[in-house]
Amino acid sequence: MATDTKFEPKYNEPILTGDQSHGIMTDRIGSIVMSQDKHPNIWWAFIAFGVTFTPVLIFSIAYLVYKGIGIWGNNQPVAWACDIINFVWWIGIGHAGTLISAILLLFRQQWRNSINRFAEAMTIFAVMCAGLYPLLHTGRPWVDYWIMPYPNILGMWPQFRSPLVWDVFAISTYFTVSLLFWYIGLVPDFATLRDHSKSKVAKKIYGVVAMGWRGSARHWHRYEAAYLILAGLSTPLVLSVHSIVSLDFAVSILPGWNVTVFPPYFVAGAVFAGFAMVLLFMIPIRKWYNLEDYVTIRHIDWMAKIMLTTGLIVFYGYILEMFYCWYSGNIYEIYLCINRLSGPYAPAYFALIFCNGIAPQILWSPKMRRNLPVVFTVCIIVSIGMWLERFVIIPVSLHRDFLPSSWGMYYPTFWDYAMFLGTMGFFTLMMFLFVRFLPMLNLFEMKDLLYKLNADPSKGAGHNMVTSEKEGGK
Amino acid sequence: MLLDKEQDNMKTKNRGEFSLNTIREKLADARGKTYWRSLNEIAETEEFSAWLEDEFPNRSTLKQVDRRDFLRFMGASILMASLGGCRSVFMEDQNFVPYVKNPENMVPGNPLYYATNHSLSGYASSVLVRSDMGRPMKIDGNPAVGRGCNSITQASILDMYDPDRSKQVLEKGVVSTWDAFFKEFRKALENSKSTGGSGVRVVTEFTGSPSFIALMNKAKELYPNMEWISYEPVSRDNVFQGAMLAYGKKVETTYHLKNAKTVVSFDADFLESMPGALKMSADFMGSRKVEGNKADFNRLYSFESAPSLTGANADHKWPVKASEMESLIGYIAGLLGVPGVSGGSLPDGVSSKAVDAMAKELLANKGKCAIIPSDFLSAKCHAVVHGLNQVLGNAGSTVVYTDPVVAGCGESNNKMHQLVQEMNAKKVDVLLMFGNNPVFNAPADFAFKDALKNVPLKAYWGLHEDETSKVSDWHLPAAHFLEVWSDGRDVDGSVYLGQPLISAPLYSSCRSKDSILARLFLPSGTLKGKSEEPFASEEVLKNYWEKSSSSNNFESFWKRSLEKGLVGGTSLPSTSVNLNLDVHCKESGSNNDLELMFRPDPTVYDGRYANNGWLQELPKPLTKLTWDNTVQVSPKLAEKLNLNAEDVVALTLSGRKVEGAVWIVPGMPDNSVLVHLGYGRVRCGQVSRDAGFDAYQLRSSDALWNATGVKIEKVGKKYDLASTQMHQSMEGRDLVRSGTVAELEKNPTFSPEHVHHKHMSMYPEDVFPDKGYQWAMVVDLNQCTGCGSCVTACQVENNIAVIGKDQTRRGRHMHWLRIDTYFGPRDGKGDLDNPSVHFQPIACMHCEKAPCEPVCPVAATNHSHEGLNQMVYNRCIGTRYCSNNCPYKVRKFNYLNFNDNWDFPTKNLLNNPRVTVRGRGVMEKCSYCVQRINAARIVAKRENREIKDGEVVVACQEACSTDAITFGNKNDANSAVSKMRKEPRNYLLLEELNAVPRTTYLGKVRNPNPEIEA
Repeated sequence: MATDTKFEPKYNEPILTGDQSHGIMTDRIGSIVMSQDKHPNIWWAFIAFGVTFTPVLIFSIAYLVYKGIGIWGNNQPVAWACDIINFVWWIGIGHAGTLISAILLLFRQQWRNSINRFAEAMTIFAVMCAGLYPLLHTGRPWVDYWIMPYPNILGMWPQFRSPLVWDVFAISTYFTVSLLFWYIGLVPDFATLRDHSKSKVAKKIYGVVAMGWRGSARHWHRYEAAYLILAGLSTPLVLSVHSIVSLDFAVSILPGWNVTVFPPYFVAGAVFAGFAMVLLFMIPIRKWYNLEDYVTIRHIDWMAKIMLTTGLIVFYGYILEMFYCWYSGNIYEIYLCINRLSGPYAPAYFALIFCNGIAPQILWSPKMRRNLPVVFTVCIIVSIGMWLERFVIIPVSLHRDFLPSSWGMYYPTFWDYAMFLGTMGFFTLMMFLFVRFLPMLNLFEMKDLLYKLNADPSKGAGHNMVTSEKEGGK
Repeated sequence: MLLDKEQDNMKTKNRGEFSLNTIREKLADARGKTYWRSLNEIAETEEFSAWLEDEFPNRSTLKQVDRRDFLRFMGASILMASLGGCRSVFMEDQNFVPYVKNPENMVPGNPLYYATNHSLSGYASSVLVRSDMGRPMKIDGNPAVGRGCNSITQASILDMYDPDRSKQVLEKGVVSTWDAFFKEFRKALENSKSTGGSGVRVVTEFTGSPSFIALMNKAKELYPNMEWISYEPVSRDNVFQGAMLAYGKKVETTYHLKNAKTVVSFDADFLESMPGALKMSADFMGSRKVEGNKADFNRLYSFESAPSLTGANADHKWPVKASEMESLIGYIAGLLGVPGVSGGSLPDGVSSKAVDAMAKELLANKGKCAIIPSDFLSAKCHAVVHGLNQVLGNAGSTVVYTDPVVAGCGESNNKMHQLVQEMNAKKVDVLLMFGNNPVFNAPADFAFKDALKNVPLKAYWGLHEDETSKVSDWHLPAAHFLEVWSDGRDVDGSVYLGQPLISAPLYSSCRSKDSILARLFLPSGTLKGKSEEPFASEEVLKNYWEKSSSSNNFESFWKRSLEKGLVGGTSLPSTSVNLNLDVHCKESGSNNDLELMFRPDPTVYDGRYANNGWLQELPKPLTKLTWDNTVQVSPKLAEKLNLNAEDVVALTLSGRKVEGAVWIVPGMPDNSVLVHLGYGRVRCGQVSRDAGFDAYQLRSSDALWNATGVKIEKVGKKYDLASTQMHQSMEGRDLVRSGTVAELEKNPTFSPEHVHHKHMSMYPEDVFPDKGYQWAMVVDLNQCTGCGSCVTACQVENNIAVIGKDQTRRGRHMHWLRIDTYFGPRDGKGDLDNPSVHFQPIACMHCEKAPCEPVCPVAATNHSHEGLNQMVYNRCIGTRYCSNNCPYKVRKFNYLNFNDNWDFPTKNLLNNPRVTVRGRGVMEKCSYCVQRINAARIVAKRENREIKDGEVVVACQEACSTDAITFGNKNDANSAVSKMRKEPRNYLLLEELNAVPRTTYLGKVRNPNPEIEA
């Protein structure tokens, strides 16, 4: 990022502003959890959304298991549709979290400290939503466990050549590591909350989850080691999960799916979608909870830049798809592109190009990257665009394949929408519960950042260090 | 408690006393019929009235019931209730015991085959029925008679198990008994005896059954003034009236196409729907055999008003309006010099050059050609065609005349008209209707329903409680043809015997029509044996044949005939005819009048199969529509009237109006509208509900098949139609390979110029051993007529679910085997108005390198060492990935529990015990009838030999009358299938994908006349 300053000295905002000290930080971040009366009314609005739609999710799952996949719009030839679209979409959402926590950690990007906790929580909840789909979209979900290698008297193993088996491993590993990573990062903060809690119950709960953290040098040493190891483990996962998800398609022989560029293109798309979702939540929340000093315009600028970069990779993927449709000389591939451009679902394709290809280009402008309404709008557009991308890949490829006689159409049903809205409700509920009951910024890493910035203000310090006399906060 | 009891006892004592003297006095006073139940009643004691009023008499007070008693009662009640469940303990009819004495030939688990017959509109076809443990399971053609079996005949087995079948005698909608019915009708008949039965009318379906005709004749002897009306909505009156015009007598015309070099069809669908179509299609397609690059080929010219399979398989086809047919036939008659025919001209769209070339060919093939007119053409047209066939010397060789087979043929419509007039004149006292549902399907101008009101006593016998039952006094439940003894005649006169396939009828009160008629009309004691039994038809039948067979050992004759299903030597001899024509054909008129054609539906026929799910869901061959009939128009007319598919239009014809949905059919003549009959049933069963519209409402007796002056208006609504194939263009892909006889010599592979050959692969080429069995299938597209009987056969054999219109619309139809219909260019030119039609049966290809297999996460689909792509239903978790990766999209997924027959237990009886019934959430697909392979393997192993070629006959192959499907072991160099695979026309569908399908196709050959330019 050093080179950045050369070109844009005008926009060299700090990554930490306002009056800061350890005490102030504990107070401003910790108090969100500790003094429950601090929450704005808008919190209730989102909780209401979550509480409304989580039962929709539960009910649609119950009805699905009772009745069968037929309640959805899936058909032959479009045997996968919203189920897999939403699965890939949610998995993609989660990607920013892992990228921020693992890769940016390894690259020693200090600005990650103020957003990683939030992004990681997002990962966990998004993967929960994503995981529902492959588990429930099978015709007989009660025998899903057959996909796992477990000893049984039949001597039957799963079929390891199938990408769906790889999926199971990739996603379960990803979820486990992400959860551990998130939890370990939370331990020192739990200890801080335990120490500052006034309520006995809270003290007890935070005490248990802090696992006896006392902040000794040995604790810190082990913490750092564990965290680094997990970061090392997560880093390949960032790439592998979505690569493997993309192999679900790339391994097949279907035009539009059998594409070698899918793994990197899916990973880029996931990071793209993930950052869009982080920004979508972060921009309002930093305002509602007065966190502008910690998540500064600089953070938003950087995240927008990552979106722009990954968006360009994705756009390149779209161009490439068109290119090799033509270059392959294969009539089925060529027809696929013709169908995308002029078939019954062409509006979806053009909307996709607009959402993911054209709209993010506004982020080239530094001024626009700092314009929160613009960034927020772009994030919404990108989130829709990424859903459309999966729509274009999955049903649009399936609905017209080799034999024109089996061509069909796909229309989602009420239950397709219900389950998707349900997962959104669940996700929102979990996110806002997280905001209220867990420290959404990484307290101790912020303190660490404060220390480092004090030592070297050129790294992006913009705060005003408060001496101990003034401590006690606002 | 104790106190209460004592008090109660006291009361009883006081009340219970009565004196015998009082009773004597009371009885002495009584006048008239006074009945008494007990002495207490007469004494009018208080106790008695208390006993009478008490809901639970003879009890102590409730208070006296103590806990023990209460429990005792409760225990007893529970015991009683549970005993109710033990029906079989008390009732005889539910004894589930193994056979003490095994019925002859029955080995549990092995099927038995019985020959019987199925009649449709009077013409019987001989069938062989597979029976599993006493349940008829599957209908196939009788090999003793001929190959194949059409969809309607195969699917008719479902009607027997139909849960909506009527199960009891109803009198004015209230359950009654046969005894009551017989009592009332015998009385009515006795009363009419004095007038010779002049007020008695019997309406039956067409029948050629000799025993039934004999029975009716006998009844007529006893009631000389009784009328028997043979009625069918799809009658062939014109055929016989045409024969009257030409020959002065009614004759049955049969076509022997084996030796015909040139066949001309005037709208005649002789490949699918005409009587005798199975044999005609076998003979016709059998004369288009290709070996290597040598073709021995006939040629078919088709002039067609209503698009049919015959037109689709023709070498030359011209759409001609139905009203122009007469002038066209007249013109051709003029060309060929048919005496006594004048007039006629060439309609638009048919070039004189083409007709000249055709005439030249016909003259060159004298005696070796056949002109076939449609049953729906006017009598005049038929007469002229008789003239044509005479001039061309076909009579006696390819065209054979015999005496008519069906009783009362040629006058169905007139007789019905007469009946309606008599009813309106209140001349009909007793009306018996057997089948046919005339209230639904009689011509609209007859107002049959209103006329029925004038009949004091009327009964209707039918499989379902339908439109006619509702307005009849009596409804009689019909026995299905698989439940009765019968005989019937094929179009050539051959007599086929029928026997019941199920020991008791499924519903015990169903009866056959001959048993009812015999009991009503014949004096009791006429029939020997169990004539009073519901299934007396065995006696009727045996009686008849005992008298008419010349065999001196009747029992052995009877056994032999029953076993074969036919009575030998009964085909009718040809009859001599003298042509005497004086016909003037009208000139071709203006082409702008809109005309309406009525045709029987390709699947539900005249409506009698409307409650048959298999037929409802069988895609109609050309449109691929299911569950509905449509208003079919040509693309040009649609453009002119601004109509789109699924638009609802109102058809108005002479003041009657019907609304239906539009479907655009390429190949229709312009300004013609085609509707199919048989839909829009109001009362039939749950399957037929809300399916299509009732075209009978527009049909009047003077224009049964073609009506002019129809008006068509858009209503402004849409109606959802369920088509199983939305896209009927090949998109320039190499799917159905076809060429002409001329091209065959140059390029027998018919491969396109830019063919995508097999790609290189780094995997080993041959993964299957060259020893043992390697199963393979070859579909000869040259032989396939596209009729769909294989689809039904597959559905019956493999327990394939019927899913309903809504699910079909969602694209979830379950057919393992489908027939793709593509429209293509005609004579090398793209033509929307008259395209060529191509059929391609597609089922699982059993790819050697099946793309579905590596993607299944649980190995539920895998390969057998004999080359079968197997589906393990129990292992399938339903990810549907295999379907996504299947380039042929032949895998079908149970999106819902389609096989849930909880409410229809009888349907479960029809499930083939050798094939797993799939529950929801699993994938399924063609198994190459693995159950049949294994059955053959068991036999072969027991006899210590290899399975012979031709021993495994898969269901689709068995049903095919034209031999389009061949199955066998490709490792056996002498097997039919390996010989076919060596044909130059053999190709792999989507070969470039390297999936190496085991099912291969042979390209289709057409034989256009080189003198006719496109």
